[in-house]
Parts: sequence; structure tokens; C-alpha cells
Amino acid sequence: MSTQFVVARSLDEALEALAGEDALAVAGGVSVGLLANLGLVSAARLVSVAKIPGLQGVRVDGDRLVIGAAMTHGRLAVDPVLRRERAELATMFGHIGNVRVRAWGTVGGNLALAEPAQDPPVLLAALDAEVVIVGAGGPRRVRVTELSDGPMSTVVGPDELISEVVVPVPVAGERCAYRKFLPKTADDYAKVSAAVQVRFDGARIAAARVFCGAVGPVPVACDQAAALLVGRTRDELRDVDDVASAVRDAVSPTGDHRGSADYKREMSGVFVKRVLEEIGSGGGRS
Amino acid sequence: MNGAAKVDGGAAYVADVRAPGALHVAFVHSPVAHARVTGIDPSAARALPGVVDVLTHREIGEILLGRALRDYPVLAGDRVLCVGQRVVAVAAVDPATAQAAAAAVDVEYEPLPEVFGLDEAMRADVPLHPRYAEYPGAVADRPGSNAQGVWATEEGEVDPAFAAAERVFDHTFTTARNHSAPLEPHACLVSVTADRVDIWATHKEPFNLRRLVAEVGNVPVETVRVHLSPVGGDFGAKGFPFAEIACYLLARRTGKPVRHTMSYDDELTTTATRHPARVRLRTAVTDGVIRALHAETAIDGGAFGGVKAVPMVVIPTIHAPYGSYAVANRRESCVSYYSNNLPGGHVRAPGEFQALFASESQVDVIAHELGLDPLEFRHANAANARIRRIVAELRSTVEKWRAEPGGTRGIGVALTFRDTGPGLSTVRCVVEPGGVRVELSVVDQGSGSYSLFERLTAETLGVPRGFVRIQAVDVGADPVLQDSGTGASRVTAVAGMAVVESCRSALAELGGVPGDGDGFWPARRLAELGVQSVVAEGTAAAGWPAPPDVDVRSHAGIAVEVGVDEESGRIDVRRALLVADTGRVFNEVAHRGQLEGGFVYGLSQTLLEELVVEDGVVTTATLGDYRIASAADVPPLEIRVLEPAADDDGAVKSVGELVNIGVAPAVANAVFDAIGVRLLDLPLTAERVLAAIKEQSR
Repeated sequence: MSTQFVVARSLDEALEALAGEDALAVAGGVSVGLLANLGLVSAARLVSVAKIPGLQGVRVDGDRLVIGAAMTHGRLAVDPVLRRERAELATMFGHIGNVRVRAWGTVGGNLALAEPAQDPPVLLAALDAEVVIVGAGGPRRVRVTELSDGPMSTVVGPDELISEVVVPVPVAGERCAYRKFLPKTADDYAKVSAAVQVRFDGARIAAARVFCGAVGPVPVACDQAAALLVGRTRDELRDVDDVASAVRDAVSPTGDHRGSADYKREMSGVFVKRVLEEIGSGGGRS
Repeated sequence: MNGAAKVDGGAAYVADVRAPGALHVAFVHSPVAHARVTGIDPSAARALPGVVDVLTHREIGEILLGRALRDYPVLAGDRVLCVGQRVVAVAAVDPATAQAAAAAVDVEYEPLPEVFGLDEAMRADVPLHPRYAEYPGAVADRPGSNAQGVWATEEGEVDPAFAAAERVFDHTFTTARNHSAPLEPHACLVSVTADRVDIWATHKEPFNLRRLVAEVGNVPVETVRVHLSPVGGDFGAKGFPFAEIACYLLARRTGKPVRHTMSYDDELTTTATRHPARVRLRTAVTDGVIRALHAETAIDGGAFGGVKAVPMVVIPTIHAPYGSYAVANRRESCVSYYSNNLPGGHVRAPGEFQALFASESQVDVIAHELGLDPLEFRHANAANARIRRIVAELRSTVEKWRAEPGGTRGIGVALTFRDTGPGLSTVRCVVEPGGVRVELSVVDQGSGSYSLFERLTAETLGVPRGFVRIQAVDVGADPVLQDSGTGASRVTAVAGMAVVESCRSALAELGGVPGDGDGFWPARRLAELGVQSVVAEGTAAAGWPAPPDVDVRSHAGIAVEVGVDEESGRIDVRRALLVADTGRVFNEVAHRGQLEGGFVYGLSQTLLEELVVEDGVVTTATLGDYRIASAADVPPLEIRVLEPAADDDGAVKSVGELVNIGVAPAVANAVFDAIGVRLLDLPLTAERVLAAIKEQSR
């Protein structure tokens, strides 16, 4: 079987090419290439969206930060606008996989893959980001938390594309940080990851979002843990055993060769605790 | 083959060799661990366009392979014994068609009771190989009908030493299944004509492969030629013909060249692995001196013993534990057992890695129990002055590290040694007016050996390296050239010395005086002698074990500093020192590469690597799941190469498998130093370390 490779120059071209039978969008091709080598995906037509100008760049649009879906992790890591507006995001992109993955992999491709141990969905969920999905029916906006409905599965239709990632710009008093646990190699998937966003109103936390990655089919919202953070001061982020306990209750890891379910559960608590320590000690700039 | 060609892509590895019209082979692998094969229906596969031939045991009968014990069938007969075992071979016009045809073969399996893990394998009352005694290379006297092999030795007065001992230390250590993970997967290409067989293969023992093909094909060995392609990494993997024989048989049947290149998935799931081992050490100590050792190693040999090269069908653990110490009274054994896991094979220092993790950990335990400094205890028990010199070097650095501020950390050390593997090599030196050519049939498996041969030739004859050419001669093209194959850290000591011998003989014919770097002196000398060329052969050999009166071993000491995250169990190796006494250094870059590579290889198998097998199925079947350390995971490593000792006499020593075997105990000892927790099981994964921390505090 041969595969046709179409390089789309515009969104319309891409959508038209995707409308055919058995077509698959490809941006950097990191995961599509791997999965094809393993025989897990195949397509009669691959539609490259990497060269579409409209899917590039980072810009501020009012109180929103708009990230082109075909931006590579490596370019996002050094993008001046992103570094200025959301340094924690840029830092996260700079630590995805290894330099080869960062050179080719894109944020849109990453979100479309919906692999539960990936970094961007966890932090973007904590930031309450949205994606713009385009298709024949026009654009629609979907929260990152609602984008994936299970491992390797999203609500993006076969003839649709993610065109943008939209992140709120930081508000006053906001702190956010992300950490991942890499007990094996530096370029491994996270065994456990944790992202926390809090908004201080004066000395106390007024709102919080806590998400953990690699411990459930999609990024796990730890709402109970987040509720426990509300009302605390920065100093009170040093004693968060109750929060860690709520995190352990929220996650639903499966055991595999990367670790037992119990171990991943325990590490979720440890890493949320460490993220909170970082925020408590003044890290996680807004 | 020089380094530049490997960097710029010019080097032709087996998969690069062009063969127009060649058929591609795909295998049907068993999906079950133990079953009777009740039916094979290849009709759907044969019917696919592009499929040329399908091979099963019905066509070829029983052909058993094995480096020592021959128990490994080319294709399964009436039973499969592990997941991944090759059952059917399909030849087709392209790889995709071959894969599709393999998937279309219908094989019926009737499940049989499975044996997984060492305990089950040791207890199994129904042997997995009931015809064991008929296999060529079968071990006559083995402990139980499910054993693959045994090696047992006894030296000195063991029982009296234990009876008189002040203290006896008894510990059991376990190690995991690792993969050798070479960069290049296995590949082969076979062409058969009426009077000749040509083979290209990722095989480090081409002379053995040639003999095997001649035997299987019942053709004169002189008609079989093995072409020497560079091997893209070996680490023990490239000594067994997993696919070559099926390809040969298909080439003979179809009259077309036939090739196979293994996917990395198949590499990880259908080849062979480091043997998971259980090592029990009982060690008698009196007055701070190690008096006697009783070492028992049991290994899960997997479905077949044939991948192992040791004649006793075990791994080389004998004489390895406490090998750096003067322990005269030794009782040692290694026993391998059959199971329905994938077979064990050779991975860089195939038995020493397991043995030294145990003994260099136990040395530390004993020192602490006796209230002695681990370095002091090692010094007091060291086998000779050469080892004491290494201990002294380690101590000076360890003391310096301890004096530095550094928070919670631990420092651990280990001693290692390495014998040169046995072997024989014959090469030819040809001096002509245009330069010097050395002809040899030695496989280049990526350690820079050809550069070394070039340098040795240039040095011996006193000509610039640019006047030297190393020419790989295909095995079978020249009946004089011989080689035992690469492996067992023997290339420099055997093939390298054969090169020197051949050059010396040629030099003698040229008057016996080497040049001073003038590349044209041989041309002038040939003209004076009135001859066109001088041709001389050289042979060198190494035995095993080495003669007892001289220390021809390499020795090394490793120190590492670690931090331990006590909430997660993650070990952070912060820096390391390697002290190496490896005799004469011929090529500093290649030497350092072997030492550094050995450290990284050892560190990776200490902290990360475990080929996970659940119910016979490898679940870490890609390099994304079977993680290997890369540059980002390696701490700063200081390498201190000691000047050859006075009594070394220019001895050529091995380095390839000297270092990786000592990293695991050094790290485990450092963890104990840091947090007082003793780790007995490899790899030292974060989860395992955390469990040990919790166990201790319970």
C-alpha cells in the first residue's frame, strides 16, 4: 500500500485534503512516524500541516495568548512572547522528550495524540486553556480538559484540525508551576506529573486548579485537593499532607513496567506537594 | 573500516548491501509460551501475490543450533517453548508482502503447562526438554532433568575454613533481564548458486557461521564465503544465527538471494537477553581476612541453552566473585535452568556483571559489620600490589569528596577485573612499494579495532599510518587467515598481537630495522633486495584461564557519589571516578571510549534497564519502553589511567568488559553510605529503592 503525502499551504487546503477517505493530518510527524513504524496507524493520505502560515506564531489577543498549533516544542521553548507571558509554559516545552522530539513535535500534534503521559495537556489543563478546532462546520472552541475522552482519543473529528491553543494571560496574584517525575532517563515520558495553578487574593489563595498526568486516562482534575488549597497562605503551602492525600484519592493510575499503581499514586501526592512548595517559596511566577 | 565512513554514512552495513531481486523474509513468531503445534496452514500466505516460498519444520526437518549445546531449532517442530520462537519463515518480493504473508499463516497451538521464573524452573518435575541427552553438547551430569547446564569447581580447603571461621556472611542477590541493545539490529543476506554460498551477516564469529552453513547445507566448507561487513554494535548479541539458517535454506530453495533485517521490536522480543540470576554468597571471615567463599549462582536460561557459548551451558561466573581478593578456598557453582521465557544469552560480561554485583556489595556489608572502612578492608584483602595501588587511588579521591560540602550524599566503591577471552588469530602482512597492507578476517564490531591494527602496523614497521591499509578478507576467500571471532574482550590481545607478529616477520625479512617514520623506506629496501614484495603471516593466541603465576588481568576501581531522594527512591548519581590499570594503551581515544562506554552501559543496567517479561511476553518491546541511558543521564566521570605496572612487560590487556561490571555494586554501596539501606536486587529502580527504605524503617 502506498501513502500519498500532501503538503497543505493553507487551512482550507488541509481541510479539503482531510475530507477524503482514510486521511490523517501530520504536523511534526513524531508520533505518526513512531506509530506507523509499529504498524499502529496507516493512512492512504498524510496531510502535512507543518507549512501552513496560519498555524504558526504566538500572539497576545486581549486577555488571551494564542499559540499556533503547528509551533514546535523547541520554538515555543524560546519564543519571546511566550517566555514573557507564560514562562512556565515555555519551560515545560523546553523539557519535552529530547532535542529531536522538540525540533519536530508540535503542540497541536501533541494535544491531538492525547497520550496520557504527555506534558502539555497537564499544564494547559491547569491553566484552563482551550483549543480551536476547525472543520467544514467552522471553528469551535473546546477546553483542553474536555479535548480528550480517553487515552489516544479526542473529540477532534477525522476531517477536523486543531488550529490554535488559547491560554488566558496571567491575572494578578496568579502562580503556576509544573513538575514531572523522571526516575529513568531524562527524555522518558513522565512517570507522574503535576501542575498547580493558584490565584492569591491578598495573602490567601482564592482559587486553585490541580491536575496530575500519567495517572489516569486523561489529565486528572484533583478538585478536592484544589478546594483544600483555597484560603491558605503561602506559608501554609509547606504543610499540605491533606492536599497530597486528596490527590492520591483522585488519581487512578494503572500499574505497568514504569511502576506499580500504588507507587504512581504515592508519587502523585509527592509531586503535587513539591509543586506547592515551589509556589510557596515564591516560584511559579505569574 | 575507518571511523570517517561510519560518520559520513559511507560504511556499508549488512542491510546496506545491494542485492537486486533479493527476496525478503518475515517470520511467524509464537504468540504463546508453551504449546503443542497441532497444525500449520500456510495456504493463505502462499496465495498472496509476491509470496515465493514458505518454510516450516515439515520442509526442513529438525535443525538444531547452538554455540555449545545444540537445542535451538531453526523453526519450531511439534512444540513451541517461548513467545517469539520462530515457527514459519516466509519469503516474498518485498518486506511488506512478507509481513502480510507471515500474518496470514494459520498456526494452531494447544497450550501446555508453562514454567516461568527461576523457582518454578528449578522445581519443574516435567522437563521442558525431554530429549536433552540426545542434543549435541549436552552436559552429562546435571542437577535435575530441567537443568540446561552446570559448572562447579572447588579449590583449597573450603569446609575447614568455614568450620574455623569467626564470622560467616550469607547474602542472596538477584539481577534482572537486560538486553544487549546494539544500535544495528540483526541482518543477513544469503545468495546460493550451484557451486557457491555467499553470506553477509551481522555475525561476529564468521568462521563458525561458515562451518554451520556448510554442515546444514551438506556442502564443502570451501564453497561457503562469509563477507565481512562492519557490525554496528554487538555487546554479546551478534554471536548467534537467529535468522541466517532459515535465509540460507530459502535462498537454496528459491535460487534467489534472500535477506532479513530484524525490526527493533523483534530484536527486543525474539533474540536473547542477559540471564536474570540469583547469586548466594557465603563468605567466611576470620581476623578481618576473607578465608573462604561458597558461591552459588542459579540462572533462568529460558527456553533454549544454545545461545550461550560456555561449554557447560552456563554463564561465566566461576572465579568472578571476590576475584580481586586473595581467597584460596573457593567452592563455586553456576546452574542454568529451562523455562518458557525467551532464552538467555550473552550481554557484555555475561556472568561477571551478576557475580560482581553480589560480591562487591557483600564486601561492603562485611566491612561495615566488622566496623572497618570498606576501602581499608579491600586493601587488606587485595590479591596483589596492583589492586592495592587502585585502592589507594580511590581512597585519595573519596577523602577529597568527603571533605567537600554536599548535603545528603553517599559514596561507594567497587573493584573489578577482567581476563582476556581465549582465541586465535592469523593475519598476513604484505609490504609492497606503495605501502603496507594487512589482510585479516577479523570482524569490526565497532570498537575501533581496525584503527588499532593500522596503528600497530605503522608502529612496528616505522611507517606513517597513511602508508598502512587494513584489508578485511572475506571468510573463505583465503584459507590461511583465521580468527575466533570478536567478543570476550579479546580483539586487541589476540588479533592485535597477530598483526604485530606478522609485521615483525615481514620486518625481519626486510632487515630487521624499523623505519623512522619515512613511508618510502620499505620501497627502497624492496628495491635493494630486488623483490616486488615481502609477505609474512603472523599468529597469536590467548588461553583461558590465564596462567596463575602472572597477573595478566586488567583491574579497575570505581567510586561514585550519589544523592537519594527518600520520598521517591530516585538515585541521583552525581559524579564518578574510574581508576584503570589496563596495561599498555595503544589508542587513547578508543581506550577511553571503551572505558567511558563501559561505565555508561553499566550505569544504565544498574539504574534503568529491565526487560520486563510477564507470562513469557516481553512488555518492554520498544526502546521507548526499554529505556537506555543517553548522554543526558550520565554524571561527570573522571578517568584515571594508571601507568603500566613495572612487572607488566608490555602485556596486552582487555578493556571492553572491565568497567560495566563494577558500576552496580559501587552505586548500591553509595546508597548504603547515604541512607543506610542495603539494596540486594537489580536494577536499582526508584520504586524498588523506596520499598527498601520503607522496609528498613518498618
